[in-house]
Amino acid sequence: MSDSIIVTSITLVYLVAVLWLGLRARSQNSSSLEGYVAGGRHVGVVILFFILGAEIFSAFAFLGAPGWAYKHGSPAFYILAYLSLVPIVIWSVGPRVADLGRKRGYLTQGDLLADHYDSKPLGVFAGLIGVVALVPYLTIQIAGAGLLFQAATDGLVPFWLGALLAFLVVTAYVFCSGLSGIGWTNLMQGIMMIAIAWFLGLAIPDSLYGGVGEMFSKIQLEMPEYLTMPGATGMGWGAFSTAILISAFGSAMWPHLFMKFYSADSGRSLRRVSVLYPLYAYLLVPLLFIGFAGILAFADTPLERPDTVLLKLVMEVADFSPWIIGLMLSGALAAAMSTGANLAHTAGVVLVRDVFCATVMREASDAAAVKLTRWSVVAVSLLAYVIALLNPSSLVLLLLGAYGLIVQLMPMALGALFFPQLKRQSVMAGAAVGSGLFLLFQFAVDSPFGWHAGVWGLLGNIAVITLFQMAVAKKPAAREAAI
Amino acid sequence: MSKTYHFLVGLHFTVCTLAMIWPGALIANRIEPTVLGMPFLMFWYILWMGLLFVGTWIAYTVRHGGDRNV
Repeated sequence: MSDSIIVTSITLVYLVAVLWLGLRARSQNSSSLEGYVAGGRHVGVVILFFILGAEIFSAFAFLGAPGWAYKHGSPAFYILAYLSLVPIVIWSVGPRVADLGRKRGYLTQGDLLADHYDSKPLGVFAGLIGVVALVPYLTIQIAGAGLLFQAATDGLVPFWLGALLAFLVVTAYVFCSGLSGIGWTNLMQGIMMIAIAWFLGLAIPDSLYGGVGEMFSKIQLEMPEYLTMPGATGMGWGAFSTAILISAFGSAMWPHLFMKFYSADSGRSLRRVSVLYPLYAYLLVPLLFIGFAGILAFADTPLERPDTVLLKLVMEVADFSPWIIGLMLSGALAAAMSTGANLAHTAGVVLVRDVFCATVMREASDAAAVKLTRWSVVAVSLLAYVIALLNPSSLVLLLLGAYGLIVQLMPMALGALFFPQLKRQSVMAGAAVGSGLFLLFQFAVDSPFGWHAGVWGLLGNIAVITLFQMAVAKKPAAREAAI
Repeated sequence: MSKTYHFLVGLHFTVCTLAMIWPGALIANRIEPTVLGMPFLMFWYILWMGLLFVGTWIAYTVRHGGDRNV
C-alpha cells in the first residue's frame, strides 16, 4: 500500500508542476483569437519543435508501440518509419500554409478550403469531420491516462479519478493560456517523455537479459521470426508499406498538426523543425526495445492485451522501486496529456471557428469568439471524458473512419496550396469518391492485396479529379465549336 | 531557389521514403549482421532516420545559410 502512495505522490507532484507551468504561460497574447489559437503567429523553433513532437507522440507511443513490437515483432517498425517521415510533410507543406495563413488570416483547415474554393459549406463540412475525428482521439488519451493511473497505483487511484485528474489539469491550462500554455507544458512533458523512455528502454532489457544486445541474441535463438519481416503475425509488405505512406503523408491533414503551421513565426522555423524532427522520433527506439523485451518474458503466458506490455514489465517482471514506477507513470501521462491538450484545443477552435462562426454566429466579435472557444474546449473535453467512462467499443471505428475521411480532403488542400487550376467541382467529386472507396474497403469489403484502405480512396480521389479537370479543360473549346 | 535545389530535396525525400518501405527495406530484411546489439532490420530504420536528418539539415543550410531574415 505504501508503495502505491509513493507512486501517487510523485505523479501528483508532476501534475501540479505541469499545471503551474501551463497557467503561468498565460500572456496578453491569449486574449485575442489569433493569440489564443496560434500564439499570435510568433511561435519560435524550440517551442514549435516540442509542440509538433508532443502532439504526435501520444499515449500510443508508450502503450501501443511496445504492444506492437511485443505482438508482431518487426512490423512495429512501421511506427518508426512513418513518424520519421512526418518532417517531409512539415518541410513541404508547412511554410506555404504558414504564409497563406499570415496573408489571409486563416486559422483552421476549414478557413483555407472555404476561402480558396469559395464555399462556406465546405469549411463547415471539413470542421465537422475534424471534430468527429478529434473527440475519439482525445477520449483515447483520457482513457489511457485513467488506465495508467489505475495500473501503476495498484488501484489506489481508480480509472475514473485518474482520467479526471489528467483531464482537469489539461483543460485548466488550455482554457486559460491557449497555445502558449500548450507550448510551455509540451516543452516540459517532451523532455520528461524522452528521459523516461530512454531510461526504461535501457533498464528493462538490462535487468531481464543483461543488456539490449543480449536480449536480441536470445530472441534470435528462440524466436527469430520476430526480428525480420513479415514478423510473427505475417504482416505483408503491401500492408506495411501502404500503412507507412498513408500515416506519414496523411498526417498533413490531421487538424491538430495542420493548424500548428499557422502558429509558426516563419517558414524558416518550420523547416528547421523538420530538420530536428527525426531526433524526436528516436524516442520510439527504446519503447520498441521494451516491447521486444516482453516477447520472451511473456512467452509462456501471452498477455491478453498487448498494449499493457510496458506496464506489466515495469510492475510485475522487473520489480522496480516505487520511485521508478512513479516516474514511469509521469512520463507516460506526459505523452497522453501533451497530445490531449493539443487535441482539446484544436477541437474547440475548429468547432467554434469552422462550425459556429460560419453558421449561427457570423457577427461574433473577436473577444466573443475567444470566450466561446475557451468554453468549447471545456465542453469537448467533458464529452471525451464521459465517452471514456462509457467506453463504447465503436470508438476505434469512429476514429479510423473519421481520420480516413480527413485524409480524403488532402488533394483538395494541396490544390488550395499548390495547384490553383483545380476546380471546386473536381476536388469535391474526388473527395466524395475517395471517401466512398475508403469506407467500402475499411468497413465493408476486404481491401485488395491487404493494402491500407486509404490508398484506394486516394487513388480513386486523384483519378476522379484528373477526369473532371480534363472535362473542364475541354468544355470551353466545345462551346466555341458549337457557336 | 533553383530547380536543381528542389529536385535534389525531392530526390532526398523520395530515397528516404523508399528505403523504409517496399522495395527499399527488402535488402535489409535480415538479422545479421547485428549493429549495436540490434538486428540489422531495426538498425536499418535507425540509420535512415539519421540520413533523413543529415540530408534535410544540408538542405536547410543551403537554403537559409547565414541569412536570418527569411
